[in-house]
Amino acid sequence: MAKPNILTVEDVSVSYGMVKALSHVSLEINEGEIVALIGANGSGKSTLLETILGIHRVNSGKILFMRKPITRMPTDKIVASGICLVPEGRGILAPMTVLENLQMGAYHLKSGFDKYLERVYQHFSFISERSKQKAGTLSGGQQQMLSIGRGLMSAPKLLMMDEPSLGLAPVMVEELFKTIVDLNREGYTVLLAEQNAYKALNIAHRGYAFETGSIVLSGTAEELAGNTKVRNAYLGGG
Amino acid sequence: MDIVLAQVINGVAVGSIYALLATGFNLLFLVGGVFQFAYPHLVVLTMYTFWLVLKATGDNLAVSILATIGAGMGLSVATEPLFRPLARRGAIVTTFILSLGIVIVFSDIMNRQIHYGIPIGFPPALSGQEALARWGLATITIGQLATILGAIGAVVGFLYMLYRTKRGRAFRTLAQSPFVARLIGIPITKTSILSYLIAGLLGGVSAVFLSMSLGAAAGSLGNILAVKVFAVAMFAGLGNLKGGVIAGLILGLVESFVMGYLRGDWVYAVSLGMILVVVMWKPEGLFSSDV
Amino acid sequence: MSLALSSFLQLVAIFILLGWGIYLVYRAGQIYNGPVYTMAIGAYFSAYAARDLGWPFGLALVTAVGLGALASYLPALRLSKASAFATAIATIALIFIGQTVIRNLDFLGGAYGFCHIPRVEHLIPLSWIFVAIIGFFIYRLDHSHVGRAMEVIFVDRDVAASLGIDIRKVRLYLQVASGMIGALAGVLYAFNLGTIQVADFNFSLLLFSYCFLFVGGSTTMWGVLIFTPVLWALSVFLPQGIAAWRDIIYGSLLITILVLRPNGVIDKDVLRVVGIKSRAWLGRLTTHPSTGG
Repeated sequence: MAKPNILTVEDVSVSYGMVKALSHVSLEINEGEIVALIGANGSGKSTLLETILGIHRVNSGKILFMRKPITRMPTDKIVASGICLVPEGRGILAPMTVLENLQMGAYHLKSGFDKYLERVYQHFSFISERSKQKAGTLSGGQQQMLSIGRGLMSAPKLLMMDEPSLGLAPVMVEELFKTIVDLNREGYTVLLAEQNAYKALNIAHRGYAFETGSIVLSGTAEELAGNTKVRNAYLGGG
Repeated sequence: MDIVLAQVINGVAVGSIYALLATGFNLLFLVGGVFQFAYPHLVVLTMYTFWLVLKATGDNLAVSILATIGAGMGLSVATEPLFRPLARRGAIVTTFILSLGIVIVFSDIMNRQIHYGIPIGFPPALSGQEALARWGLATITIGQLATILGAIGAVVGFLYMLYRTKRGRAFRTLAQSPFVARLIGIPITKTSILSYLIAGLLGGVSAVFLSMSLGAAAGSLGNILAVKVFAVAMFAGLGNLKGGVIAGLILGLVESFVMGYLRGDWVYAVSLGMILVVVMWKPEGLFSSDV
Repeated sequence: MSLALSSFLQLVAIFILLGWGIYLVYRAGQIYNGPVYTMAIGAYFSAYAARDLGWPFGLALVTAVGLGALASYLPALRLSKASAFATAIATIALIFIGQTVIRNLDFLGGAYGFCHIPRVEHLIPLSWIFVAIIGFFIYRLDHSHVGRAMEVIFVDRDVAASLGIDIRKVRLYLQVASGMIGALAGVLYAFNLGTIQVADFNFSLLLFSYCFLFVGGSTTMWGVLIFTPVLWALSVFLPQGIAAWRDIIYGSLLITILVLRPNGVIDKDVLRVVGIKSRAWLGRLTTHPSTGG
């Protein structure tokens, strides 16, 4: 039985002024998958994630979430319908406490706050210990985890992450990817934009390779990892 | 000793109004992302509304107060769409200039269009001059007590909302990071409009208490209040809510003592001096800032 | 020349000076209201020097401008490091402080004003010569290394340092220059009107200047030059019925422009188009078909 489709991006183009940020991008995410977007900095991965969330205007094309069009929807409605983005640069509120950050994540949560909070505590033990601390006092890695925790508090049907490993120490990066796999096993669908193509393809089911705003390659994670061009461009060759 | 007590009471009463005004202004600065220079003028225009409704209803206090608060909220919200394009882009410096345009319009309305520009007077009964309690020569009047309780109550109520409710957290999120606020799914425009409504509410309450304690108003009151409110805001640090409350009370107390020992002209100089001292010595404000 | 027209020409010159004074520092990223504050100083000092000390006009003018420089230099030591808002509020405070101090100095006429300021011949052409001179200097500044750097600072603060520009020093100089221009405007004002009052140098004057600058165009010097006469003409030549709405018209114009076109009417793009069109036009004028260009 094929997995139900969660997100479809159909021939989407986005430009700001003269700059064409996304050019005829099409992709699909199905339930329970980890899909990786790989590509260099500025190749359009972040723009795509932000466009899905409604932060950028779509010039042409369609985006469907759970088979319903969200192309022109305002961001707050898109988030309310179950998509969340863990942004590049952590996206936590430093002056607020750890707990308040999580509360903010649950802004659109109708019920079950305690249940989701409990789950976040299970994934990230330090959060329950430091729940009253100001988020700005956490280390980089912890802030990243908090950012993910914040995203989880909205009980998302689609969890999008933008460069989560950026600026993290190697040990934390291991932790991070292990956590993503655990979340996926729990049932979360993940769309992951990563410069660290090796690690991303390692845990993903499928992937898309970006270059200057377009998708140049797509396939299963194994196919991409085995592809010579990808190996040379993103995996250090050989 | 009695005189000092009297001056303290008076200072706290006036200072609590300043605290309320500073809070409304800081709210717009933090959550709305605008430097609303016309906020004090909006409050004075609301005082004019109070006067008009009192006249229209034959001095019906309850109706007039409700109408005034409503007017404050209405005027405030009416300015939101004007600021929206600039606030969205984060062009907060340009919002200052835009608010100057609003000052021009509001000032003209008060200086020319209403009551032929003649200063307005409020019914003496309004100021609640009857003394509630005495300590020797010092008294506290109904008016002063109502002002202190009402203004401080409004500020406390607002801070409670800000720190203990979901809506308040949304405000703080928007103030700290509009980007994260979007990611969380906070409706930016609606939240912004709500902050204008609350700032207008605080302004309306201020207008009522100002009418009570001053007994009169004129178009020029806008500029005078502006200097005082911004002195308070700069002294504490722009956007520093709790600091603004304390600084407002301090200004009220200092003015009260100055009025007692020096000529009335010097009262205005206090605020002006406060501004210069802060800007020359510690331009970010004397208290540290955190939302 | 009719009284209305001469008054118009004089006041337009003064408003242009004020507008440019504000423009100079705005380009460096600060909202600076010094010109109105130094205008009061320049006006009162020169008037006093000419009437009560018997100084010749030229001496009074130069000294007044020097005083304006000093009066803006002292605050500028601190304000050059301050934020846009701190500068704005502080200089507004200076305007009110200036007014208060002057009002309390009896030898300056106190609240009643200072009158019988000696007449000066050809003040209007002189004023416009000053406008031309200062316009020239501003033009040179805008097209200099510093001027181009300020373009960038205006958009991105951090780049300034990498361009080798010390913003603090630039702001200091500009604030002093602005103060001097304001003082000059004050001198011209005093000697034109013959009588000055403390209330003349008030917040309203500032607000009008902002209106002319921001409606005209706040990113180039031409906005002030072209729109000040246009907008002030509105004030002077409005029919009776609408005249009462003047302030509201000014305020609404300022608000509207900032909502719809925040850089004002005359921005860099407009200048570019005008530049291209005028070059093309001049080209056609100087190229005769028979000579084959």
